[in-house]
Amino acid sequence: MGIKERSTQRRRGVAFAAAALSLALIAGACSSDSDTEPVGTTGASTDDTTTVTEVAATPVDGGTLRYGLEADVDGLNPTTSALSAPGYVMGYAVFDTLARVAEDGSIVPYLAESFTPSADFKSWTVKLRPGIKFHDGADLNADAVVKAFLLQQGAALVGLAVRPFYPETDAAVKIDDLTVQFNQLDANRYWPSALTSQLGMMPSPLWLDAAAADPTLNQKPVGTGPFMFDSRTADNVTRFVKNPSYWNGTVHLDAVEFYPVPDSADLLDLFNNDGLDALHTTDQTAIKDLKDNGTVTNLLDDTAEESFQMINSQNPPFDDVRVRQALAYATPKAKILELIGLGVSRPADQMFTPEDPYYNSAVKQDADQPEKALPLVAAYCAEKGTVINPVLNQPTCTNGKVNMEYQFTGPSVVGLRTTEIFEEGWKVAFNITRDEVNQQDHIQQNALGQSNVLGWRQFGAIDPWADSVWLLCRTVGAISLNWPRYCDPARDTILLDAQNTDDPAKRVEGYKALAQNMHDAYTYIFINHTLWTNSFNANVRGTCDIKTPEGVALKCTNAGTSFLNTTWMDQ
Amino acid sequence: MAITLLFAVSALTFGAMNVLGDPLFNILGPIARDTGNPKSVKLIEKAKNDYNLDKPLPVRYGLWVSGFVRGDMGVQFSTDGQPPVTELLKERIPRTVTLLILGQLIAVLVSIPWALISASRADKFVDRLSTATTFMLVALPGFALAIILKYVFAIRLGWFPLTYRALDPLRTRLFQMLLPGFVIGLPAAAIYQRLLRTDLITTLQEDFILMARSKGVSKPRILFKHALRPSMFSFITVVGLTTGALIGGSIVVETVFRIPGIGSTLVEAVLRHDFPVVLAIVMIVATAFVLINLLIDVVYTIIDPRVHR
Amino acid sequence: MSELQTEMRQEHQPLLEVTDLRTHFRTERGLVRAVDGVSLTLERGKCLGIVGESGSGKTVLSRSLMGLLPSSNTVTSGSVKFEGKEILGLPSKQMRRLWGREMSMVFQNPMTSLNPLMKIGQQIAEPLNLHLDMSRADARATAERLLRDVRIPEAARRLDQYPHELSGGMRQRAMIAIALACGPTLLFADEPTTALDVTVQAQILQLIGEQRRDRNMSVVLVTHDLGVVAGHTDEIAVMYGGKLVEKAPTSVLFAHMKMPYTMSLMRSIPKLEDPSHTRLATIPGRPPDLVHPPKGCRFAPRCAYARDKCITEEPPLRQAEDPNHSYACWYPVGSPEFNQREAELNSGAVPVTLEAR
Repeated sequence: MGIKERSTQRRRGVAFAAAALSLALIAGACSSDSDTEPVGTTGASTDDTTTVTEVAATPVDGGTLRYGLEADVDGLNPTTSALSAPGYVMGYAVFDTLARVAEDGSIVPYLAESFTPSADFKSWTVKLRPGIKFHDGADLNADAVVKAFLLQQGAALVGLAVRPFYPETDAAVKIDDLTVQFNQLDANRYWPSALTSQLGMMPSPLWLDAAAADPTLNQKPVGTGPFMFDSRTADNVTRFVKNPSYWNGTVHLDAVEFYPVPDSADLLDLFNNDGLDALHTTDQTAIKDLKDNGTVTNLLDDTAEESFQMINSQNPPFDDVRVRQALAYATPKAKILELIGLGVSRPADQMFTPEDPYYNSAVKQDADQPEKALPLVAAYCAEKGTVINPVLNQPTCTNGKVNMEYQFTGPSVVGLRTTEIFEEGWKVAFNITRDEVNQQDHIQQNALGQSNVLGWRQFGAIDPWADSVWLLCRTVGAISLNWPRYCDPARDTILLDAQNTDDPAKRVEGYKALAQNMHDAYTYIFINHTLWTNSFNANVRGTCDIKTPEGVALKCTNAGTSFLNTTWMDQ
Repeated sequence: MAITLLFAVSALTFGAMNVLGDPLFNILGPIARDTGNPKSVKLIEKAKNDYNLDKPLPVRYGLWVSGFVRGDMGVQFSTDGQPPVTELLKERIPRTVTLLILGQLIAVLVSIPWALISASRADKFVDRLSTATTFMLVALPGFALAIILKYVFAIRLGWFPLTYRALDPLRTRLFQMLLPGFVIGLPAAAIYQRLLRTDLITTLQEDFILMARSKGVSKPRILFKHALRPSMFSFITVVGLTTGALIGGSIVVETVFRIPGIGSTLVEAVLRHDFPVVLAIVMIVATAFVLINLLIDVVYTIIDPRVHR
Repeated sequence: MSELQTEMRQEHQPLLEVTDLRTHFRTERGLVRAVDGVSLTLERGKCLGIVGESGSGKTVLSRSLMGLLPSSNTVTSGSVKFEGKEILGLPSKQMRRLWGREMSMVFQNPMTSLNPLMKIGQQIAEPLNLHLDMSRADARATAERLLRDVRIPEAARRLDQYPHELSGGMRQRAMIAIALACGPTLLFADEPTTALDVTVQAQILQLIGEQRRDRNMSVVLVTHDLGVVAGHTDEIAVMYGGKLVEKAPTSVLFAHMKMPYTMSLMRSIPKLEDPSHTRLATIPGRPPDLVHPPKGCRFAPRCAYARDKCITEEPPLRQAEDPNHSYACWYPVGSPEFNQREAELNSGAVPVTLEAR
């Protein structure tokens, strides 16, 4: 268990999507591969889109949807498994969440019927819809919800992202058979967004018990979702079949099969040659092809993650803001965008996209000004140049340049090329020692703070409060989710205030201040907004037709993933 | 002899993996270092107990060996839903074995007629062309051949499926393995062809070939009936030895064609430092290697009556 | 010409008629004239011995006659008529009908000339299947009879044995059985006894002789050992440097040999009356380079009786007193020049300086 992701062969872009929202994910990781992400100057896509003004045709029942993913997953147990982006795509087929994001961006109850806050917004009461059953016949009730929550809170790694926000005892309390009260440490008016991803996924309590005894069951999930687990061959195909008694409308597809295809060129080949009906990727070359293909429906989403270079501020020399600032100035961001990006995804200056109400247009990512890096480094080296950098076990400076380790994942040609471009810029003021490690070590060493600088992907929570798991002082520790290990009480205040105001203007102000605060700390060098696509062949329809029982239209892509409840195939 | 070899291989691998890596860290990830947290400490204690990490190395090796011979190869380090190693390999070995048998079959079936044609026209155009072809096949990296064949025959021509699909019926899956089989088989065929061609040319200069000609035996019959069998010795030896190398080739092929066999499993296990899996695969490959070479010895005695057991 | 006459002519036609046969090999060093203008005839039922040192071209000659040489790099010219039909230069597809059926060959080394991985029975049966279209059972029965014919004991058991299970002499007998299987009219025996020990040698030669008489078969016996051919041939052809240098009926040759080379070969035969460990006279020097053969007599550089003329002018094949005896020498045995040199040599007056010339 753990921060480990299945580093299936060559996986590119296996991000553990930082579905920060779910609070569950620790492994928000992602690797210098992330820099291989599309970058680019043109803007295009925001949330959904490029879609589909298809004539409302009558859905046809039947068919098997073959869905290509960038990587396979291990466990699909929301209470113990850190779900990667592919894990979410599969997870949403078998699990429903208590809440969902509506088309207008608001959070609406899904498995739940209602959410009611206490007066101080520290507690929320969740009322469940009656009569919903898990695939194994168990009832969805308060006991099931409490059990799932407590298990996840207690889970060694997944719980790391939950525990900072909830009391150790009585975080979830059964009120009656269909009502649960959640208690938090802080006031939070926007809490229900936490229930739209991993934390909100409801697994069967019977299955949870069985999986505790036999962990292989983690790969055979049981939820309330539109599809039921059927069979799995690891690293080849996982098949889910239609839930004939789905509680929210008819499921049209007979089955959905997920194919992990780590090589994006293969993924595209299969998609283009009738080996797949749908795919999920963040590979920029593939996305470019898919966008140019007139017959394909692309659900594009670049709000789910940002790609950036991340600095561990705990150790010399990067404990000094001047050095972090110098690294940002020396970063050849334009060149990376030009050479590695293909004009597919948008450059990033902060964790918000320009369409986001909280976007702070005054905050620009410093980069491409190497001349400004030189005096900063000179001043630092003069002052503290003989201190030891514990990561390298060398003095912080040699010959007037700062010594640093740069960690990236390999083996990957693109990763290496990207690294070379970064080095080309940084070397004016830095001596770089490369550390090429596998994905798993990359994540682990970062969690333990054993590196200086590395590429990463995260942020982009459904509601920005949830990104505080990466930013608060309380998530610095032996294993930090605040990866840069940067604690600023003023930032904590900004975050906690912003989630406890009902004045939209104040909230906007708060998150704008947060963007500025993050910029000034220089622990992240934002490169671009990671662009995900869920693409469907022409005969796949209805992917965006999901509604709640009350008739509220739901957003058809969420944090880079899609939902298959209403999808059907034109035969 | 073979048993000693297997012991040596297992002891070396076991030792290397435990000395070079930190099993606890590989099992638990960062939690292994999170010794300030009582929750993590509990997990650390449990893992130490589960994996016998608190026992001295020789004891752990002994436990592993006794498990292995009873068919219990331990638990995968990455346990999030992963089956025990034995189950994992039970599922995956048949695929790799099928692939290798297919590859060897293709290699042998292609190389024998090819070598016969080449040897009977030694240094003529056909032979020179085939020499160039063999060099190209041997020099071409496996992944390049895989991608080329896949592009030409699966994507362009559409003769073969692009990918392996575990859900399909057996016959379909065998067909899906055919192109991968060629990727494995063709470079091996090139090596076998070189070898067999040279030996055939030598054999064709033997007195008994002239004798056969003087009896009025036709050229094809001379090649098949008289020259082939005496030329097979190094061929067979290398077919045996190559089986080991082909497992290496299967790593690439399994990845390109998405066949979940032990080649791709090995790579993944190495990347994940999943030592029980690596160790089990190393042992199975070594055992297979030993068995194949024993088999080859038997084949010798069948082919050559002069070899006595 | 009447039909009768034609038939008569065929009756009197020699089995094998060779005219000016040349076999040259293209090599990197140049053209090797391995056989260089050989003419001879062989009557039905007769045995011709071809004698010469190794490198004299006798093996190449026998293989050229049979058409067994590889076609690449080989240039042949002249004429080889078998039963009146030209067979020189026929593609092996057509020769295959003759091979094993009309003519066959016994090779020098029974150790290497039998297929080590094929049972004796199969090796004998193979030509029977091929040429006579015999069934398996018939072929097996015939093979057993053949093994008995060549006096291999326990013939039935041998059929299922491999060559390595047989002694050298038995292997050679087995090879003879293979060669005789289809009842050929012409048998080539290329040094059939060289690899065998002396007692076995005699038995094998006797066997070949018997079979020749029983089957009215012609035999070409190729050997370096004049002693071997002495008792078993009707006629002897001596080869040197790719050429025929002397040819005569066996008795004539031994009585009146003309070539000093033949004489030297004669001297190198061990004689029973010699005390043991007698050193045999060997011919000093080495056979000529067939890429650049000597201008005159090819034997001249090694000939103790050679004179200037021998070195500059090539001697033609001349008829001796006996009309069936021909030789190629300027100063043959018994000529005054020969006798004079012989006397000088015996007296030690002339040092033997060979090669120097």
